[in-house]
Amino acid sequence: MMFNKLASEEEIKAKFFDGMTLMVGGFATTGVPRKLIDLVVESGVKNIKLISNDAGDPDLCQGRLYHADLVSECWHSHVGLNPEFGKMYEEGNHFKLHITPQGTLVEKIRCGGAGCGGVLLRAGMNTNNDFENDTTQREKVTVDGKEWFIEKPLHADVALVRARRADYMGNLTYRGTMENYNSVMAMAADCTIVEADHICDIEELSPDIIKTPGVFVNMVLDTQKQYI
Amino acid sequence: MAEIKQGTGKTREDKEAMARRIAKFFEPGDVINLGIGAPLLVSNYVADGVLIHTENGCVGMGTQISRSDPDIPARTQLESFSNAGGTPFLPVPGAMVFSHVTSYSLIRGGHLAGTVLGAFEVSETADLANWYIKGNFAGMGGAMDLCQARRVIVQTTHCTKNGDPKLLHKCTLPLTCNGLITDVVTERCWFQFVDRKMVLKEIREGYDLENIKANTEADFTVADDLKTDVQF
Repeated sequence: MMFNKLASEEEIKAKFFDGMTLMVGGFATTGVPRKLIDLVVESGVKNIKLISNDAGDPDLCQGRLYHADLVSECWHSHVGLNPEFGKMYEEGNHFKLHITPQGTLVEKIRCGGAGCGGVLLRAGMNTNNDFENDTTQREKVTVDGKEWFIEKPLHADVALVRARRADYMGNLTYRGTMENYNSVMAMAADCTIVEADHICDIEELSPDIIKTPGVFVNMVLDTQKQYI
Repeated sequence: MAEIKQGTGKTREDKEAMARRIAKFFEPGDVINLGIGAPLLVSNYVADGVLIHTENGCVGMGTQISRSDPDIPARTQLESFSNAGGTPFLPVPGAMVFSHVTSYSLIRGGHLAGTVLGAFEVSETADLANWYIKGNFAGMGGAMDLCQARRVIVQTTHCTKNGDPKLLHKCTLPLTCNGLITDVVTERCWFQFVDRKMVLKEIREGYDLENIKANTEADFTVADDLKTDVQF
């Protein structure tokens, strides 16, 4: 069989380890790699540093990682969807939260994937919020008379990405609003693992429509090896 | 576009009135972002050709739909398009989808004609507090980024449920933005910010200057061309 990036559940689980930094794509319940999250929970690795838009639904999405108490540190822009998260946060001894404006979070991830040392942004400037990762504590720089935050890159050991279609080389397409964080997170990890609704042959995805080049992808969860 | 409904009675009528007034700020060809909740009502009143942006990666948001609606045949389509509140919607003809990177570039880069946000508190120096209230820790989501749009319109009831003013000298809650609001529309009037100073531009039919002064803590000036008895 020709070279391909299809991987079994066992091969994927072997990539997870205690203390790993994990990016999970998706926004609310759209474009979330649910099966891959199951695999993380099954693998039982602990002290995960989780980077994702939100804290997820406790039953369906990355919220399951909180449900199993596997997270020690996290970066999110919104945590209101997950009632369990609120309780655990108030108890205070489960994880450290970095609450980050959404556009800032996504640019930090982009920097991590694109080899940039950081990016200058203004979201939250002079708001003096009294929170962890508080906007007043970030380093500032003045460029041509305008003040900016220096936002440092975020990079992960493993990124879990959901796509509509993937070919054997990991080229990806999306549907509707499911691209959201997936394409940018695919760039920003040492090992990018894809869960796709459909797996296609190499020529099936025209080069014109590919949104995420397979060069960023390491593994595609094999759901149909028997057909190759 | 099928109507989006919120609330009942007096409150509902007021929310619709604010949405109608805000919709008049925009013209065909404009791309605007609407916050979750009451600001979404603006989409019922905007002119044809105004496109709605949702920050999770779509310009051209159309009718919101229910997952249980039997009239929606395309189940997979329903699951693929959802807005910033997680509600599924149908895209309008000419809609486009893209990643979060593009979506926030569009916001920060000044490509939106405006963004409409809700508020807990607004200060007389154009500050907004709308993301944190004690006992309800949800995070700011995209609100801090959206405040960097070219025009930031706050849609809010004039007073809290207890009748206390929401337009204050200084916000007491953590801020979403410092000095970036351009307009405030309440069920009673429209204020514009000029160089971080609040100016009263219009008073809605049924209210007068006395009423607004009595229910506003913030200091404001009255525009030379103030319009009264305006139908929102």
